[in-house]
Amino acid sequence: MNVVNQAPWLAALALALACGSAEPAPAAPSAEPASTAAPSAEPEAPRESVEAASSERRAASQLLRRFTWGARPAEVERAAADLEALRRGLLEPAPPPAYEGLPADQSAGSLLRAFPPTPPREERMDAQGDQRDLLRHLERQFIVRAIEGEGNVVDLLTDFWFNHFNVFASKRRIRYALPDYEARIRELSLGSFGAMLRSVAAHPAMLEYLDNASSVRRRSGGRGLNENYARELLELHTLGEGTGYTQQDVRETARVFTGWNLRNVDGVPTFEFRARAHDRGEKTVLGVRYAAGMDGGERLLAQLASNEHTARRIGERLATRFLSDDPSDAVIARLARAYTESNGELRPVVLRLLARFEDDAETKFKTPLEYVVSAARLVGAHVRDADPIRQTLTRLRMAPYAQVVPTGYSPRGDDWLSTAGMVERFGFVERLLAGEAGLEPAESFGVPVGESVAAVLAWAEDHAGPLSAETREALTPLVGPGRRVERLRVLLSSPEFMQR
Amino acid sequence: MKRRTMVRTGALALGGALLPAPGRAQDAPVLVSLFLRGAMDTLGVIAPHADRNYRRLRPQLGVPAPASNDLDLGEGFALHPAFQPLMAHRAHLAFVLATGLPVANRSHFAAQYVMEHGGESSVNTEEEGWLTRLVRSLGADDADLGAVAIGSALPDSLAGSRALAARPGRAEAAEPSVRALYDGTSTGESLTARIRRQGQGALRLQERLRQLAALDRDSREAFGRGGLARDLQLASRLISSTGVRVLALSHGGWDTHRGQARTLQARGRELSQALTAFWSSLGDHRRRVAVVVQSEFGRTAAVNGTGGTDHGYGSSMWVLGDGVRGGIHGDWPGLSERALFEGRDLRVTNDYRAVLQAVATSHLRAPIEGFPSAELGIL
Repeated sequence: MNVVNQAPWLAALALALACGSAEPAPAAPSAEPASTAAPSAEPEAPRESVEAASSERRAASQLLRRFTWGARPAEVERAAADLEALRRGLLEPAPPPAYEGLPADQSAGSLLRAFPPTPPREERMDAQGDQRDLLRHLERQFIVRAIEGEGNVVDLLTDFWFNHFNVFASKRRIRYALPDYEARIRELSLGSFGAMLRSVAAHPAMLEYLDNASSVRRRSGGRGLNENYARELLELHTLGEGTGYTQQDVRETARVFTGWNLRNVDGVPTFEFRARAHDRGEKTVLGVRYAAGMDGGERLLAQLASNEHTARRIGERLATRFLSDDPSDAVIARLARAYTESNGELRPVVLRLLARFEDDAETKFKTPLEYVVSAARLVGAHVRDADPIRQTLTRLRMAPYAQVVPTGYSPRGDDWLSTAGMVERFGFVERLLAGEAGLEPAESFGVPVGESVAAVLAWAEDHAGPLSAETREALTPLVGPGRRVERLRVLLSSPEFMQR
Repeated sequence: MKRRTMVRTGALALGGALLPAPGRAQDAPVLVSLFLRGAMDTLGVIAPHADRNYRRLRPQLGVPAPASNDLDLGEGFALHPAFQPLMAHRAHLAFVLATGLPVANRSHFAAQYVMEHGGESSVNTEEEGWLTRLVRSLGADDADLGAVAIGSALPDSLAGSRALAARPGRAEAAEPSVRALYDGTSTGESLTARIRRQGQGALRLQERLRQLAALDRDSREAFGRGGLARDLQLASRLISSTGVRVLALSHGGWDTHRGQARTLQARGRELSQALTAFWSSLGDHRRRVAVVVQSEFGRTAAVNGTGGTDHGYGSSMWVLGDGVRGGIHGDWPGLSERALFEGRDLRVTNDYRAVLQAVATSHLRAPIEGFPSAELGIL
């Protein structure tokens, strides 16, 4: 699709969607020279497109593969009939599907009542009773939502920002705070980054995870400063590594956030600014002085959110997640500019991401989560039992809420490409086809009858994009209703379906 | 800061690489890493019965002074009776005491993560596992089946490696249509080509492992019951019939917060019987193999209120191998109130990485970059 074709729908989209925001709609991309498009890193082997696939169908397929957890049976065909509606729908999420194992109220207090933690408070490998049950339910809810949810980009953005601000569910009692943490991230995933940063900074999940809950001003004996949060705030959440801040800045930042602690309110860990634990001395971060009190921290977060390094880092992370493992400088700069021009509003940045994706995007290897979920969605599955999927994701080293380190799961596809991972993917396909994946697929796995070679290839391209000669050859004999399972096996196992 | 992008190996060596090069790999030293998950209670397994504080801290659960020398490890230490089969290897089984992370961390997940990535204290350490780095140091990172994890998933210690996970037992062969899809050569660096090569390698190696993993019933009995027995049986088979250099195994169920006496009895029997059978099954290959047993941390010096022990600090590491000097090693910090870490745990006097480095250097002749070394005298 060329720039001229894109402008009208982008303008319409911007008009329709930016109305909730005080910020101006982003400039139409046609204002930019076409030469800023990312050069392709590698010449791909030529892939022919099936004659039957219309350009609308290809566009719908691309949008669904890149900006949702994956297309469901016949969804590409349906979406191709009204691309505008698809594009609008991507940014208008339906509420996530219900999961019955958890109470409707998923606040920490409600979850603490439903799953009373067993003493001792020490984290244990086994027999954690209700605490373990809660984590299982959270994992299942995550899987059900991804597989059964309406396709939209907000689901992916929630996952993206959760990993950007990663917390580990099995540390202390973080699991009780997880649904609230995730819900807040979701609410702000098309809102203000500064607001999200502020929400995260004061959230019990983050305070526990990066130990700011116990960071207090130095006193004789006892506890003291903990730099864990301060360091990750600068390195991961905002500026990025190697952007010029020093160890002294980290230390001063930690001092700014002393007293951002937790207090038990009816057994629920709750954010509290403890003035007595706060270091009231003078602090200077990146050359700016911060006054004592909670306001100092608020101001520092706002400064960091508006820093140009933060803008660039967010642009780079989003581009890496959605467009290419190695996004070009031009693409990163364009997203960073959208961020800066909108004063850190994320909706214009996402619109910019969508606007030129067909020029900017290169194929990426699906992460384990993307692969498993997109396969389940392709067969139109309802989740009967989420545990087999959870086990598969564990073996693929990408179980929900299980990443220990603050970097989160890598958004780079290449980081997940391994021989062991391929073995596990092939095994998953066989379990799915044998009915051992805990899924109730649509009738005949949602695979169309496929009366002709053209119809078979069109279906495959809907879900996997342009096919290599090898995959076309493997699919060509698999015509007719009797070959549907075999056709599905080949598609799910193919190198093309492994890509987004 | 050591976060960095994982280096991906390029093309798989295609064809003919499944069998070890004659006279080379079959002579090459092998490391078996066995991680006891859940924090094994060192003080309950290797009892410092001569330390007078031991009886005070462990009025129950204490292992008594050995009546005969069939559990005596010397220097005032005795083995828990359930581990008695290990005494057969006393001449070349080293127990290094008071090992652990240089900085205490009492979270299972964090401590395991840090240890398996070869770190010091923070989870912000190398992205690759320590075994991944070892495999590279061995020059076996491009070899087929150079490293294998026995189990359902790769452990963190092999993160970023080309290693495969293999489970013992019969498994189905890949479907012909999938094999056909990945048939033929694939050149170039396009993503599709790279996926195709990984897929080809996966199918080929998986088939080889599948054939090996169907264990024979005859030797089963000697290994005893339980998952570890099957895992070690497969490990033995891989050592004798492939060019594997590094094997990673795990054994769970060591988090003994309550009713520890029974759990240790069961785990101890299972572990020592399986390890003993493994060692004797190796035959001539024994001289090539070193086994390192470790756990994420030790447990509280004192018994808790529920007949168990809680998360502590100092642990122990065991090294088994023909070239190993058996017996008690490492500085023993003692159990007096002043000697205990934070007044409750065995102190750490031996960095766990120094033990791993000793094995890597002396047995494998492949030092691990960045690991400290110390004169431990075990090899």
